[in-house]
Amino acid sequence: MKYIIQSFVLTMGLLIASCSSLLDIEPRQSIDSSVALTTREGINAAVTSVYTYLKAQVTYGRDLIAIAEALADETQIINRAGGRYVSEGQNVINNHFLGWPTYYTAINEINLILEALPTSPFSEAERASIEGEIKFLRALNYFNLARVFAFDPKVAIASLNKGGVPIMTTGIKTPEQVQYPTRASVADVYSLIYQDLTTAVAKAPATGGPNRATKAAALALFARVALYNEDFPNAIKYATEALAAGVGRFVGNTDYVAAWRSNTHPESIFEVLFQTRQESLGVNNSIQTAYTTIESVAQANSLAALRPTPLPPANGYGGIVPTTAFLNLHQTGDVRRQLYQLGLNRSNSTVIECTKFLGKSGVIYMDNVPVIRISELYLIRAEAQARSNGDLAQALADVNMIRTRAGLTAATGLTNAQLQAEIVLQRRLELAFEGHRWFDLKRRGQDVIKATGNVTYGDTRILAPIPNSEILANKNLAQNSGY
Amino acid sequence: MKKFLLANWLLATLFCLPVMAQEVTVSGRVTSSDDGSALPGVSVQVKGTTRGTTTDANGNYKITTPANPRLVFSFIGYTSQEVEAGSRTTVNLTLQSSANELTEFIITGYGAAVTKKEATGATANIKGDAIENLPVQSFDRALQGRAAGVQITSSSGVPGGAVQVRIRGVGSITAGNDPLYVVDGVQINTRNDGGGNVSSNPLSFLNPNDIESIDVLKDAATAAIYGAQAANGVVLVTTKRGKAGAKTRVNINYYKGIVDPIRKLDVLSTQQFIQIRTEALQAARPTLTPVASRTLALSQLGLSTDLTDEAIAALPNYDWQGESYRPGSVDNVDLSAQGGNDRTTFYLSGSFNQQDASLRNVDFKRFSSKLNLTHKLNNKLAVDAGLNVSAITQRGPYGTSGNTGNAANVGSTTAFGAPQYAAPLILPFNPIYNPDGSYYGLPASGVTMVGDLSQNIVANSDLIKSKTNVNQLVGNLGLTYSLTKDLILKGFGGLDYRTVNSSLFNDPRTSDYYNVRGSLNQFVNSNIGLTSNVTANYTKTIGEKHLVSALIGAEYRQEINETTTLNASGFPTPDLNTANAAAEPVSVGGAWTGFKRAGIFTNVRYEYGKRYILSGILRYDGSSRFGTDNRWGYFPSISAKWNIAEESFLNTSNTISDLGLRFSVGSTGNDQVDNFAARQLYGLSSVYQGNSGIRPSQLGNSNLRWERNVTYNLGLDYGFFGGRIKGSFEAFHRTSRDLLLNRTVPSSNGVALENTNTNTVITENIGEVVNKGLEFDITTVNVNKGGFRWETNFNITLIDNKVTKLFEGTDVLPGNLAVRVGYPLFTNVSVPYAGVNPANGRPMWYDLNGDITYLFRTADQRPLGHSAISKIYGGFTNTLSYGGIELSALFQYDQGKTVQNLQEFRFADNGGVLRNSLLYYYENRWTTPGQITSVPRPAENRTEVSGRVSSYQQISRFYQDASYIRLKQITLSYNLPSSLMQHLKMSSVKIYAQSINALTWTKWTGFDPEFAGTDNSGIIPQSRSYTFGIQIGL
Repeated sequence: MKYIIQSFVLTMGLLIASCSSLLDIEPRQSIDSSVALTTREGINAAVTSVYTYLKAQVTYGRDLIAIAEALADETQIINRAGGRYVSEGQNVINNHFLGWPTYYTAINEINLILEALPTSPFSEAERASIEGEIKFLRALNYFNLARVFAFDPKVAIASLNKGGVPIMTTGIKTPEQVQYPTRASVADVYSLIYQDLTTAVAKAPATGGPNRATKAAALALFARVALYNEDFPNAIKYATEALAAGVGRFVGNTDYVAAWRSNTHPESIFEVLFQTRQESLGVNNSIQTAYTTIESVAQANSLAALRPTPLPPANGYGGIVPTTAFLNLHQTGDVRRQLYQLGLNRSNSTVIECTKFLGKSGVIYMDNVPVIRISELYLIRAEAQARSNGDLAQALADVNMIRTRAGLTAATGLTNAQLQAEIVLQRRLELAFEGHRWFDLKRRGQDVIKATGNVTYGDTRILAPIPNSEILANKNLAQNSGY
Repeated sequence: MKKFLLANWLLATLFCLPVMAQEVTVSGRVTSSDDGSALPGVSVQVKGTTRGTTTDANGNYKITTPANPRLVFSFIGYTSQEVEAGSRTTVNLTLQSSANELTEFIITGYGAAVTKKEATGATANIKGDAIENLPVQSFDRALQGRAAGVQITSSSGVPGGAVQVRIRGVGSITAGNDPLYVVDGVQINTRNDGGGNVSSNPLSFLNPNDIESIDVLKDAATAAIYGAQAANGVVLVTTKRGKAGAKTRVNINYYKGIVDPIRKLDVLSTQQFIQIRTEALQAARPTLTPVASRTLALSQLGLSTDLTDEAIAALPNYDWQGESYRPGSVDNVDLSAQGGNDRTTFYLSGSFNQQDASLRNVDFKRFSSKLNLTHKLNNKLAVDAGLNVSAITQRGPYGTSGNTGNAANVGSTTAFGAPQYAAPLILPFNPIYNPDGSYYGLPASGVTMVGDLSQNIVANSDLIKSKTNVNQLVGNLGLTYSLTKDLILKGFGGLDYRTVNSSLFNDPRTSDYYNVRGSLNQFVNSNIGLTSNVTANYTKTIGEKHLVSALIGAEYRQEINETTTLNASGFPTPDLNTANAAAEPVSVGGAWTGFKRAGIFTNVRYEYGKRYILSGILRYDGSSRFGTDNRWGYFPSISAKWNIAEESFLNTSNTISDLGLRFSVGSTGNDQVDNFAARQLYGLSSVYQGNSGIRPSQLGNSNLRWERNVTYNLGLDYGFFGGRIKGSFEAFHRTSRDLLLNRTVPSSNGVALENTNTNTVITENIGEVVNKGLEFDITTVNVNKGGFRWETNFNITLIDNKVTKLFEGTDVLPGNLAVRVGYPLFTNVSVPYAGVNPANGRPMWYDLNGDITYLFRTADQRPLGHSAISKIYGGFTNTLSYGGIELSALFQYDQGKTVQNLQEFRFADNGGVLRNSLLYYYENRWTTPGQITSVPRPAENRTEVSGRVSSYQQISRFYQDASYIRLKQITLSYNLPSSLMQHLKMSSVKIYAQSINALTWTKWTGFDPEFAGTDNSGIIPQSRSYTFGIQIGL
């Protein structure tokens, strides 16, 4: 009996005494923050993570491409996708770009890696290369934040301007580090982007493109950023350097359509890669489904050759399609017109659709997304030269590169105004359905004229709303006017 | 404790020994109240003497006693009874089995039990027979309307699906609100690990017919013994045990029935849809002629544009709802045996249960088996063991959104391919089948259904195979050692082991999976939960009136949960649907998590003369989920009871049979947050260039600690006229503080959750919610005359919920407008609807200034004065019996909840898009200037012509009162007369007919007002069932 009492007391005593270790349990699918970035593998994996945000539906996965086009004036919405894209197409208030948390998540991870690099087990050269790579990515994220949520630097409407976006340059991984930032001025945001791109140009690797950040990508983005900033000399300078940097090649007339049928676009200087089947955004959310009912390159080709009766079943939604007016901008013989073809029958409508995104990876609803390609650089340089009234001969030569490659005759004898109009036209035709038009109108302070109702420059709907939850969470943050 | 009381009482009977001169012989027969069978081995004592005997195998006894004796009959499992024999020489007696005993025992945890009169806490007690033979798969659902203070809401009508149980309101905002379930001492994991394919209720492992009693601990007086897990209340389930007796009692149960959809929605006919689509197009294109609008509408619908009115009238209508919602069947058979002798008792059962949902291809099947064994090794040492094995197969619906855990809105979906969402929306001229009987509109046919909803949902339902298998084993082993008659030691171990195997085979013939040639999602989850504890229980009577008892114990619990998933596509034929047949592996996944808890506890009680009772509990608990500095916490409670009826001025009263006043105050904890919520972690990101990334997955909070509830309870137990009127009244005040709240930090800080579109959060102990309420429970025997008996039970709970504190300087929880200081949780926040402008049919809203506007801003949102929390709920039961016939009806009600009818939000497009709508919106639409209505004119793409106008179907149009009263259960039964039984050599036969959810009264216009959470889109509604059964006792 005594033994029983003793063992009972002993058991209870043991239970209590060993309580502290009793409760120890380590997660297996996570790493403690304090050690995660102390290894080569950890930092490499963290850099990989930064790239994944470029694939998000709210960034290059769809919205920066397809929703940008729905908001702008080259497209019309065919409602055969259960109402998808309709609100954006009609510019219904609050139906706009999203992605605020996504951009800042990428930025924070970059900041954390930057802080971890000095003590990391990498060589100096390796550290510099990683720094260059992720500073390009930070610049790209800030640039997208700024153009989505804020006025572009030189065209802000003072009465409506609430500033740029918050600048976050230190990493946050503990609750104590949480910040409640205000919106920095657009000028300050651009100044940070310039700094980051300067570092990226100096340190980013020369090779590895177009799916990873390279020096060429940094130069090309710099050219675009400078153009948005109406800093024409730098736009010219960096466009020229980017064209010489050796990533991407200017395709000719004969392989122009083929370039849009290959997995990686030969012109890409930076292109977001979708590699494995699981990365597909699927029938509801991909760019392909937004633009076309056609399922593959092979189907597009066979439909172009012969339209059978009955037609094969439609796959994607094909909700965002070109307006007739846009299609009519193409002159006879323009090779780019071949990228628009009659789609399949969905919801009793068959319309002409854009086929730049066709599941070219071989997996339906999955395409790489070109972010910057060679043709844009010629157009950037041309525009910068023309608008700064600089080397107009180079501007004309650049725009003629695009024209003649498309199968049109070279333009001659243009006044500067005509030249600028021609550059705008070639941008529309060359970069259509690649997410440029909305931002091009915005950076030039122009109205969006469309059948479903115009959005004049200065309308609330020019800027995306900052998420309401963000406004509630941060009292220092000013919402854009009108929301 | 029960045994001690009995032992004490028996001892007390031996004390005084008056001597009587004359002697007589008394004999008789003792039978059981259960089935009238003879009871052998019953102890028969002559009170005041040492004389005694036991009954023989036929229940007969004979005893020599002094004249006019008082005989005391006692037997394990039965209530002891004293009989004044007087001058009688034959005393026959029926002993009441303790299950039916008036002084019922309340289980209070860790093997302790007290009588109702001794209980100091607020508890609800439901006996097994009250929920017997209900066609429900888990006992939680059966409790609906039967216990004051306990609100039961089925998440959906999926048989065996999730049920939301809220004891005394919702106290936590982001941590869990589920009570702790303890089945025969084993703490049960109640997380729904169903893999997202089907709503799978972990409590469905137990056949409800195996349950002896359910005790719900509502206040801290009793629940505090479970310390850190008790904040949301504790539900203790005790399964049936064997009973000593010569004869093993065998019970056979069989019932069979049908289930039926409760409601079908009235939608537009083909002809009405063409009309309304024409109007919508016309409104958007004022320049079109009416004829041109109709031509446009017809062409959009794929119809010939030159159809005459007669041809349109002749267009067909197909009933997609009718084909999706169909009557199903219910089947249950179970067999149990219980028996034993004075050393060993057993309960053994096996059962099969099958039930269909009212939705096509959704069902539940369970095989379960249970064994409970008790054995006395000797006078000191006893073993109590239980084993429950069950195998469940659920066929799930297609398109359930992948919610798991206790997330609200389990089972809601807006998938176009899901029949539960899409059936009323499909344009009615789309055929369901081709003339040859095959499915219409499959992709391979080249024919596409017209409209946004272009999937043949009947084909989806039939071809897509969603199957979830749950195999569960729950076992418990307890060793009790009676060191002295006052001190009992107990060691206990329990295991809750569950594996979930879930697969979703998306058939390559169906719309979404045609081009990927089918896909397979497979999910394997295993969960191992261990509970172990040691306790010592000491009881001592000091003098005549002082009773002291003490329980001390220590407990350890851990749970490990592992998951593996795979996704593959490219199946050669639909007939091959295992993973090895897939040409393309798409992805694999896995997860591992776990927690540990440990605690020591004590409960000390003091009773003075049955009148004054004082009880104190202290528990010291630790949880691995919290920061190392805050893992441990104290959870005390103190409670007292004054049994007024035992006072000398009342104990002779014939009117008042019970009157007791109770008070308790105490503190309990809640740690229902993520297992590693306190940690600062890097987790997996997604893939780029063939590499997996890592990223900060949570900010962590090393200061994280318990969420703490402080509950005050004032209770009154009453009984009049020998218990003909009895019940209790409770008033409680529950403050939930240090809430484990996900504080939204600006997402510009950039620490993402799983989904990068949600805000960055830190789990912190901030905020406070108060639940105040009253509970009232009354049982009356209205008539008991000439064999006719009418009994009524009524219970009601009134509850007031309010958020009283959030983090500093914040009145509204960022990211969740429904949580705001001074308002109940789930407060509805939106812009109030101002109706339709009679001049032009456009919808209008009230902006923040109260002015009418077509276009409001986000900032115009404000509380609408109602919330999705119920304010009043309860049940009302009437039982009428005469002879062997009994009619019983339970009305269950739930009042004061206002929810957005999100499903209807998409059923009111009125031709704005190519989806069908409800008839109500068609019939009440604005058509002519001056017309007063709440339904705007049809608008193409749901927007008015001017692009600046927001979508006209703002949610605030669709708030509805989800209150309801329901005839939850009505049962008519007949017990065959015992004379016939003896003839048939059976102890009882009962036949019955029963209906569940027979009638519902509600203003709600959707399928069903009962669902958990705030999103009813595509929730499989409750169904109505009719069953017939027979129960045979051998």
